[in-house]
Amino acid sequence: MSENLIAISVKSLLSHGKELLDLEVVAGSSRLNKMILEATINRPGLGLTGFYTDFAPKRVQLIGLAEFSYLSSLSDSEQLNSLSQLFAQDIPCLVFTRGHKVYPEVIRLAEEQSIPVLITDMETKLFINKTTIILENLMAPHRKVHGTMVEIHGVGVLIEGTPGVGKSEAALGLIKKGHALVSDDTTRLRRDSSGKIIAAPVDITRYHMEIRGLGIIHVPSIFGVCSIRGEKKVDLVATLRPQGEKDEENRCGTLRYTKELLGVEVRRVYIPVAPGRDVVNILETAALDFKLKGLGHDAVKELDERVIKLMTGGSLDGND
Amino acid sequence: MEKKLEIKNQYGIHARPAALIVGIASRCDGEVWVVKNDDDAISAKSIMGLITLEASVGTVLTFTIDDSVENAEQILDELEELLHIRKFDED
Repeated sequence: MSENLIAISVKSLLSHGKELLDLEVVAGSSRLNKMILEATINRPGLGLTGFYTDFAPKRVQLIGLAEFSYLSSLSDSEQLNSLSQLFAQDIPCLVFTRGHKVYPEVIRLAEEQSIPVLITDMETKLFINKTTIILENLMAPHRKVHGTMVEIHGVGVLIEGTPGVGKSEAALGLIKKGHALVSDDTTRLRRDSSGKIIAAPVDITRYHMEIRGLGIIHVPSIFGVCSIRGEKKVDLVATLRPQGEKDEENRCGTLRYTKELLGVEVRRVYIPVAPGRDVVNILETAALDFKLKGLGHDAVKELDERVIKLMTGGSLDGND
Repeated sequence: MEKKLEIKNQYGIHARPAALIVGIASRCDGEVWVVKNDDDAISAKSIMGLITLEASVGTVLTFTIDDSVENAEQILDELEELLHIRKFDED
């Protein structure tokens, strides 16, 4: 999976971690465009002792209590020499946790070698956990898709279809029935580290919908906070399409369709749309059927078994 | 076929300009895609999609319509007029 990961700048980590990470830049503020290439953190203990074989320079480097104690045990010149070697590895940035004091000589050295140095008051353990999550989210493979994302009874459904087919109207109907909107029309997808596809709104248009005839509406203002959801795993893709011949090919629901999203196959249903067809109801039922199949119940299979049993001389009495 | 068009009005693609683009794109017999930089393609028939482009003044957008679509050239010409000459009737 790592081949698909994208890099992010130190600046981007700072802005996304503004509230959670409590980071402050003490050196190298002109080089915040340096890129973090791996979504994890390295504690360069061995490096500080001068051992750089198989060192991981693409990661955020962190000086925690142990590293700080080691540096403190060195003479001033040894300390600078050790850090200078670390900076020479072209690392994206160096973080000091627990509010450790960064000496002016270190700041000068970092400025000379163009390495951003950041400090935080957080404990190392907590900082590593939070930063790893932020980095993984930012660096996960992602893309924007044309589709409306809703949560129906806990099932994440991405409604897609050509413009004007009625995606937003269907979502509006679902919201009215108590389900939640994640995003309307344009949805941001990312693949998390466990291979799940997560859908989220695009920040700028978040929780707004465009309904033909009404224009743009703000969903939580009208329907309340229960009507929205920050993000949700995509369990099911529901493709709305005009009623047509293709609808005949899967009348029993024996065919299983999938759609590939960011390299992951996600279950898919095609829903024919025509005047008078209650798409909202069908979507709701599709979500429930998905849930039921997840529990091992498959209606068409069970019906088939009954029919075959009868055809082969069995009887239908008993547990059925 | 495609056309690269620059945003020339002061406030970029906000709600009203998005609606004007959708007005033209919706008359296209096929799909009209818009791309900013190398980002993902957005349907030009979607107001919400267009707003998510965050296209400010100076941004260059690439509009693409499949060559097989009959009125492709006419739609692209109308979009060019809207962005470059009318500037969304704003300035």
